[in-house]
Amino acid sequence: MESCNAPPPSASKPGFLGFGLGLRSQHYNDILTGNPAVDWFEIISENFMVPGGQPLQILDQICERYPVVMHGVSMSIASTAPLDFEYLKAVRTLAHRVRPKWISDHLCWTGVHGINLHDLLPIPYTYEALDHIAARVHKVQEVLGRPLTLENVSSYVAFAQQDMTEWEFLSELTRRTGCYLLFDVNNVYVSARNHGFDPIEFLNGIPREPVVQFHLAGHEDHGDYVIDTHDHDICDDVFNLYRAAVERFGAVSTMIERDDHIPPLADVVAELDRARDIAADVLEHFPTKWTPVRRRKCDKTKSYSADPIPSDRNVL
Amino acid sequence: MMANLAALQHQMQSVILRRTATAQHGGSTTSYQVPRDDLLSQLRPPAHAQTDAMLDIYCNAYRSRLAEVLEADLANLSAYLGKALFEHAAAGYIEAHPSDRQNVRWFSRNMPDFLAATAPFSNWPQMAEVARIELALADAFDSANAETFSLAMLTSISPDDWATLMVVPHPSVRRIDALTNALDIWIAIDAGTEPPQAKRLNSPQHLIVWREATTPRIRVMSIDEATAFDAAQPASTFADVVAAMTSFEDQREAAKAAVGFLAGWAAAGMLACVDTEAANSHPKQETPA
Ligand SMILES: [Fe+2]
Repeated sequence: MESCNAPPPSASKPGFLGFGLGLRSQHYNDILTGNPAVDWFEIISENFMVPGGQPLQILDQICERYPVVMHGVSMSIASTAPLDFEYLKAVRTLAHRVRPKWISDHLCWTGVHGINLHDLLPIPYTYEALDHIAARVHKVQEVLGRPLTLENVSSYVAFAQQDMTEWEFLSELTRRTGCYLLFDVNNVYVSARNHGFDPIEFLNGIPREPVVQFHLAGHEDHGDYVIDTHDHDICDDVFNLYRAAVERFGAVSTMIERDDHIPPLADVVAELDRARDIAADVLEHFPTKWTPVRRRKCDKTKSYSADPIPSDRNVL
Repeated sequence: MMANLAALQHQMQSVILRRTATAQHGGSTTSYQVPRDDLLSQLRPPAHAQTDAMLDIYCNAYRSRLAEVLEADLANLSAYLGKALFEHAAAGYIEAHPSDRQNVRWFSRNMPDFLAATAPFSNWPQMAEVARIELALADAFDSANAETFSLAMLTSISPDDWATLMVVPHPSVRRIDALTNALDIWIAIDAGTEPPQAKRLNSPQHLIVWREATTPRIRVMSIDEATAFDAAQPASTFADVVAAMTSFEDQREAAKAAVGFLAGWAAAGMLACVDTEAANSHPKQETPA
């Protein structure tokens, strides 16, 4: 096993941003012309890793008004294919523009042999994988000049060869590399149902310190198994697990991912308010940790021209 | 060190792609079949479902995700082909062209060539051209920014400087020479109306696609205008453009026509200012990751 490495220079844990949403093109107009009660937005980095045109213009307008964090889907940190430094530099270039509070991607691989399957594929929780991924996280953090934030994914298969649990793996990875964690509550729920572990055990197995963000999302329940589709409202079970997560991790920046059957902005904001209420309810009992959420005012004098809107190709 | 992880990823990818995997070993390419059972034997049984069914979630999600990308990128082609034929094209394309870019933004880019080269689609050349038009418009939408060379800038050029004036197409510009009435078909589909009967044209239709402010546009150019415009790609002087216009009786006539074309291009935002910094260094392109 590798020795414990210090986090990269200038790393200070990002603060609590409040309650945010995934930025989706269907909502651009409402966001820029209205004043939605959203504290921050998360972008899918790849949707803005394009040469120019309107997507980047809109992104600039959003960044003027809201804190934005970057969430990638193709770093493929766990792949045994070589790290794609061109991709990492493109992420860094976008980060210069966005000034994100943090940059996240998934603890997964997306392809080998020069092919990208555009899916978040599972890894075996072995020391071999841990050594490999930890070394790559170090390299990524060097290129980005900041700690990487990694998210637990939903998985449908698990490997027979396993040296530790998923939560032990995540804990050890963050201890070795100083990376932060994006704790996806729905993904824990989905994987727990699929593989038959106790989500609370997962939750309690993750250290408090590195967790900088929560994801909430809906899924598709097939009874015997669950698929992480991001196309449904968040179910009560996931909200209950969120309550448990807030009890354990405290005030952590929370956002909702919705990638398909996207409802009007007001509906997602209402769903976000439910998360706010749960967090407020839990954190009332821990007043020292609670920072009241200030809803941002946005500058209504700026106008927005409604030209053709691109679709978000990168979703997950 | 990574023997197991690498082997596992290789196996899983082969199973998802449902095909013989090809691996590179120091320059030589080896193909070998990866049976699904090999991978299944390394998986832990899920809580309630069958392992096999759970593995299928990945196989199915891979195809349906890419099919959705194609459907979104080529919505008009899809409407033209109809659901069944488009799904057939998408399925064939997904098998033939696995994504080799980090960003799925560029996954669809080979579809026009695929349709042009693959039966039965190759029997209907308008299909590939409709796809080409649709993707060119999508490319124009988010292509690189550049300061446009405006009509006002053009009219401020003194007569002495015209010959050496650099004519630089805006980075959003795409040129297509269509051999069918694909543009009329595309326009009808885009408007939600019945497309005209497909037909081969007696002479190619010269199309130009570009971005005006933030809006992608397309229009037809005459053969003379297209010849002049193509001479300006990637960047030439006004004199070069005129010299390429050989169909004119003399250079004076050609120059007169070229001035007219240039004014039209400038007014529409098809031209970019010369970036002197970039011109002096290596041509720098924003390469899609
Ligand atoms: Fe997530």
